[in-house]
Amino acid sequence: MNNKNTLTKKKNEIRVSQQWHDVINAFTQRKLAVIGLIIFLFLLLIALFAPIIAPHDPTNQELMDAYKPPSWQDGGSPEYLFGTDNFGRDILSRLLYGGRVSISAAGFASIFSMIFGVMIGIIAGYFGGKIEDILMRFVDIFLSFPMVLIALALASIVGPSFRNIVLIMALTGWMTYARTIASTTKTIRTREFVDAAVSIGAPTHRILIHHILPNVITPALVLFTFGFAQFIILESALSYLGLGVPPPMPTWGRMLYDARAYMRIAPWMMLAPGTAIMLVTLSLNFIGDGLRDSLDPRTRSQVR
Amino acid sequence: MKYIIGRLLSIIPVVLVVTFVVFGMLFLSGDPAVLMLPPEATTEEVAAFRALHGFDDPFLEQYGRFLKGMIQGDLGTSIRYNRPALSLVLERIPATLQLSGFSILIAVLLGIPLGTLSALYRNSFIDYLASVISVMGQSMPNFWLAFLLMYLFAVNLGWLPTSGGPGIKYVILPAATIGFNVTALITRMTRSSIIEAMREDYVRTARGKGVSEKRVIIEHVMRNSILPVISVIALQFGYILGGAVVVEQIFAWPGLGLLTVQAINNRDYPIVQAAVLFLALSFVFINLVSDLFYRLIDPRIRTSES
Repeated sequence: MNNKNTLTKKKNEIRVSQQWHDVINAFTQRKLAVIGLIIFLFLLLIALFAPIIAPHDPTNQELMDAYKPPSWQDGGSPEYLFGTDNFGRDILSRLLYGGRVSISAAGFASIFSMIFGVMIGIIAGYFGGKIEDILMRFVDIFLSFPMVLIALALASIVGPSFRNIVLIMALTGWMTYARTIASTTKTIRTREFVDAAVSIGAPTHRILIHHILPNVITPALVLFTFGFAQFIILESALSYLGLGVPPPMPTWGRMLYDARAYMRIAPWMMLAPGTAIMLVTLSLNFIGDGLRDSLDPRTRSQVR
Repeated sequence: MKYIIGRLLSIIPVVLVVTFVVFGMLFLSGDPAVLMLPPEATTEEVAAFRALHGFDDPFLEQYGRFLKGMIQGDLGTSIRYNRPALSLVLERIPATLQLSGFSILIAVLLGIPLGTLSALYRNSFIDYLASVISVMGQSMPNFWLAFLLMYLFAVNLGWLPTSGGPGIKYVILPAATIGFNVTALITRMTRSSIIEAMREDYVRTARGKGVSEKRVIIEHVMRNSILPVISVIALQFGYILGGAVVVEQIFAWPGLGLLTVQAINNRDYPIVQAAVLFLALSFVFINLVSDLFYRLIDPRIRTSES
């Protein structure tokens, strides 16, 4: 009996690992997705190791060195690879440290909104009926709010700190998870293994956690990458409007804001943060597209 | 008819929750009076302010007053301008509508032909171009595009003003910025909608009857695939109204977004409440109209429910 159990378990493991193998295979065959993953990991790593890599203190002002163009332009020096800003701060160092703030804030916000949205989605999809109606109605209502303005207003009301920004962003992003996961859960609910679990009297929380949750993780992951990109943009927008993570911590949005006034005389000030924001969102969207196509058996074999 | 009444009634709880959130927002900080007054305000000033705005009353009573005011078109008075918040918001609507209108116009003029062509000539150059545009439009943060356009066309070439408004000259850059994201979406929607319609039986029937390819595309494919695109456009319109905040800020376009951001910075929350409420309710309304419109022009939805 025991032997047989381990045997089926092994079989299951093999099937699951085969499935992941297929997915990884399909993913790695998508050039853009792989490029996206490489770029994202690269940016993640340099942000992570900013204190080691950054050549200067990101807040240190060398007024003598203000408005230095990037090193490849006339008047630039290798000391300031991407140039300096209006206060003579090193743009590369600010970029690296800003990346820590932007990526981690967006990352935490994505995790929280995913957890909350998946929870709501599973509950709505599994129980259906009135519960689903009410929860989905809440999703609709939240979707009708102008989210950037709500996030801004909340940031000004509760005060912009790293923790508050993360929570506010999470609050604006859980709805897509809830909606998608609810419909996925509904289809999973009708499958035999759920009926089987119900009929042997498994407690509901066990069914939700052990049978439903593992099956909604993949669509949630796809949404996660897209949501991550959206939060990078939202965080930068909040910072740009002065209601992001407060100074002296540099953020990409704040750097762009500073660059706006000096566009004419120091256009390189906007170049670094703008490109960084775009690279992160672009790479995350590439990853998301690749992941979505590889996870869907219908499109898995179509290599692009 | 029954559906329409039901759909209209379903608005009521939505409006209630929206107003509750907009109203309750202020209380998150603990004390709205402290929030709205400058930090150097004395205790007496705070107390006077509280009494003036009735912040000492029970929460639900204040909410009731807020609702009653809303029905009468009174959303409080701006602290800074000492004028009704609603009229300040309404004054900005023309500029906001102009910006969103132009953005949608650009997006429709570019997105629908591009999406159609890329669906008809799949894997061609134009299809490739369309997919590049839709990927860029999805990933390009609009404020970064705003910077690039401003740098190129206003700072470097000097063709257009960097900021200000209202006026046609001023609206082009912000509208192009917002329009780009929407173009990407409309291109994608049009493409997939047309590809789907091409697979339908009626298209095969029409071709089988010997209808010319041009007529098949225009009369059968386009007519049936444009519906989902229209509903996306309607939703985008609602979304742009509130989503153009940063772009309005960058180009100093005097729309609702600029007003609201300034109000947030001035802690002038009655304006913020009025603006958020206005935007959320317009979104709900646009949604409703697009739903009803959809039913009106698409008989398939009507019959499937009865």
